[in-house]
Amino acid sequence: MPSFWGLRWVLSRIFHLGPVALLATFFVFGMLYLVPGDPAITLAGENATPQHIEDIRALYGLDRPVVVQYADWLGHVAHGNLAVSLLSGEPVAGEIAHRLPNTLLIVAGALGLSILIGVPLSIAAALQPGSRFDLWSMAIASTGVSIPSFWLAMALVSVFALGFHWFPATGATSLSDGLGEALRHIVLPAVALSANGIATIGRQLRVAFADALAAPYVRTLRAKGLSRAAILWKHCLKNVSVSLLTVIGLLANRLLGATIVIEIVFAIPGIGSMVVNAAINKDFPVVQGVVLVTVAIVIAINMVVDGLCRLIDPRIARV
Amino acid sequence: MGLAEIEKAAITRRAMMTGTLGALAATSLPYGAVAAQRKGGVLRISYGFQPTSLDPTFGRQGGDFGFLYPVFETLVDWEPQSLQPKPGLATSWNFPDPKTLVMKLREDVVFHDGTPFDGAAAKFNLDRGLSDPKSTVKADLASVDSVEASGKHEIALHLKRPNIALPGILSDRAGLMASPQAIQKFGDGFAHNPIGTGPWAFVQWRDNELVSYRRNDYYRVKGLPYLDGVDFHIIADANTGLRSVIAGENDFVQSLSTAQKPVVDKAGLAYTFATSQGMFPLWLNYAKGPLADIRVRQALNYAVDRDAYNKATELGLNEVAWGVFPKAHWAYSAGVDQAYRYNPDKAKQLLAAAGFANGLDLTMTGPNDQRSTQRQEVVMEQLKAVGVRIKLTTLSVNDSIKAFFYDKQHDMLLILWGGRADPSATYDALFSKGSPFNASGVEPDGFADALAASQAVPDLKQRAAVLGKVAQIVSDNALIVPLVFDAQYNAFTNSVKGFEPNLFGRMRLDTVSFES
Repeated sequence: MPSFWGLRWVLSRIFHLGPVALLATFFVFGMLYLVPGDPAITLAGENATPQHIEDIRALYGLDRPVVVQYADWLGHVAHGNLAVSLLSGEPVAGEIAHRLPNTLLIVAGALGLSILIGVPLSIAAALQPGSRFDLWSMAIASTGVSIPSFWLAMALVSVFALGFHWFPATGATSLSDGLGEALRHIVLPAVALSANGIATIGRQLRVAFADALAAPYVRTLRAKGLSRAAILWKHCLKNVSVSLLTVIGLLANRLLGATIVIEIVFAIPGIGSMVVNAAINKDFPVVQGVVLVTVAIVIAINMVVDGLCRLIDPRIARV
Repeated sequence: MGLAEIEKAAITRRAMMTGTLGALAATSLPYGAVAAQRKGGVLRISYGFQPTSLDPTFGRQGGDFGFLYPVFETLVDWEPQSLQPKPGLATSWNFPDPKTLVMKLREDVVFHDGTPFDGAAAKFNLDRGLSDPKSTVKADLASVDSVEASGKHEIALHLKRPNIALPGILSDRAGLMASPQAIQKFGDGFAHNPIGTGPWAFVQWRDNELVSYRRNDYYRVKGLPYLDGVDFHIIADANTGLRSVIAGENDFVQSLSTAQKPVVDKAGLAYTFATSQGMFPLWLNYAKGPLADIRVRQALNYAVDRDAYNKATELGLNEVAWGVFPKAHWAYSAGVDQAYRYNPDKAKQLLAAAGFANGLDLTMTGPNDQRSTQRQEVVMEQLKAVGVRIKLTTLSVNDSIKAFFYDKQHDMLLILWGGRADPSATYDALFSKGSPFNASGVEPDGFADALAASQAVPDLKQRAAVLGKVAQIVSDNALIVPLVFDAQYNAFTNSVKGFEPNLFGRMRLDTVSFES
């Protein structure tokens, strides 16, 4: 059962969501206005006269001060809806609900692969510091950090989709249409996205494990005759798990942003490609809606990571 | 938007590039046409962008037509290879007096919701285009004063001024007919529940993902369509779209660039490559500065090596542009052909005569995508050779249009023009002083009279001759620097038959089927 202080911590984190989301959405709203472009021209169509463009601007309320437009959007949010797209006229919330699972599935897949490969790699390297394996694995990890995900994505498509026909080259399938097909669609995007994650986890944890293995308590454990496996899994892993969780949290947030490129290369209808299209066309309600949802997800991830760290290492809760 | 998507207009010129395709073009058959085409199958298309609206009155870009033609039909249709007007939902039309257009309508047509298409429905659509605050066809219908349902299957358009181009205009967006009952029922939601009289009925639109259609069993043309349905998969990146066809996930990809030809060839896909009336020109603001001097504008025209530009930017495959219409267009004017053949010495002489012997500085804007940048760089190098130094500002498509046409910030713009259904409407849009696409806001002497004359001759051959005079005025005054015409380059699997490209560059699928 959570303690009073634990509950207070959870509530305070949830309370922080409001100001952070407010700041982020206001900042993005302002940015969209500062960069060149005029949605009224887009909305007025091909043959529009300047007068018609002004009429359209007034019709959509785009002639009002920026702050008023932002407050109007905020009013919609306060009433529980994210308004409708300027261009398509469709409810933004519905669009996000339809596309978000595709994005989250890719992020989850990439994160899972990063952990499954990155953690054992870092342990193996840390157990043989200075060995050929250590040097090569870390060199490959450095390459993984450097490879652009879109390039890797196209290379994977060429080989595994167009060459061997093992996986689809484009598109996504909903989980409700069958787990197998949905997973088949996310394999290549997740692999392309995970290269960077594997390298990041591998490099960061290798250092953490190496430090743990060199610590005096490990020498004591060895002297006591404890097996290498017991030292590693029972004692070292617990000590580096805070670092691991922190890296995973940061990586999850980063992957959420990195899906934009992957969604375009694989033609996946996710929130990344949605926000790019909306930003180009200055579809403010869509951009704002995606930013708000993304901010909420990032805060939620950070909260879960912080909470787990507090559980693993109670000293953190006292700070 | 506008000009930008100005980006997708097209027709067949050097028809196709393979022997097979050339032979088929020679017999006037669509690509892959067979004597008896099989019915059935759903065509999966990779399309580069989603519609701005599926309500024809509110749509905002030329690319929408790929999505509109399955559902809607126009009052007036056009010949795919020349864009000559021909009967559509209207069987015939005439001008009993210069300010009245009477159109007889088909009597055997029903909308997908079962309601009849008649004079009242046509009047409803045209009135909506004229008066709805969000209408994007108001400018097209500017010459129309009122619409009358003069009979059960007849309408009369009463005009503010004579406009013989109106039937052509009604073969464009303004002439697309939607179900009045559905518009009243769905209101603003009609864009997501479009109902027309076309070969396929709308099924669903998932934003930036999928637009689906299924067969209209009551389509007025017996035997058509062949396909049971069409699914447009929205794939913004053309390379991804092409990969989806190679992988067998789609059957058809539209609007590829010539740079992708090696990939298409290697994959063994079928394709069509057809010249369109879309044109890449250098748009000029000749209201002020050096470009107000006709000699400078002529110098720019002489300074551009169109063949070299074509080779550098389009692998030499497109048709070089001397006027605003390609050779296949019925309003093509041979009189302006080669008018400004590449002559850098003459360009330098004209610049020197205009007082720019030591060179000239101009500003230019244009889209910031990779292909556009390549085009801009080639032109800049060519102009530099005669002493014209360009300061380039690249922006997004919409922003470059705004900067040039509305904010008048630059001397020149390099962007695609998609064209209009009627040639008078094209000249009007490009060069009339009141047009939003004439950044200068001025026009040369005699232009308005010549344009008005082109709108007052009913016979097409006579009109072509009168339009030739308009073309001559434009060319003599060097109001624009035409470079090349755009090409419609589509690739598809070998099982797809019967696709026929058109001069408008707007995808129509009525004749498409799968191999038996």
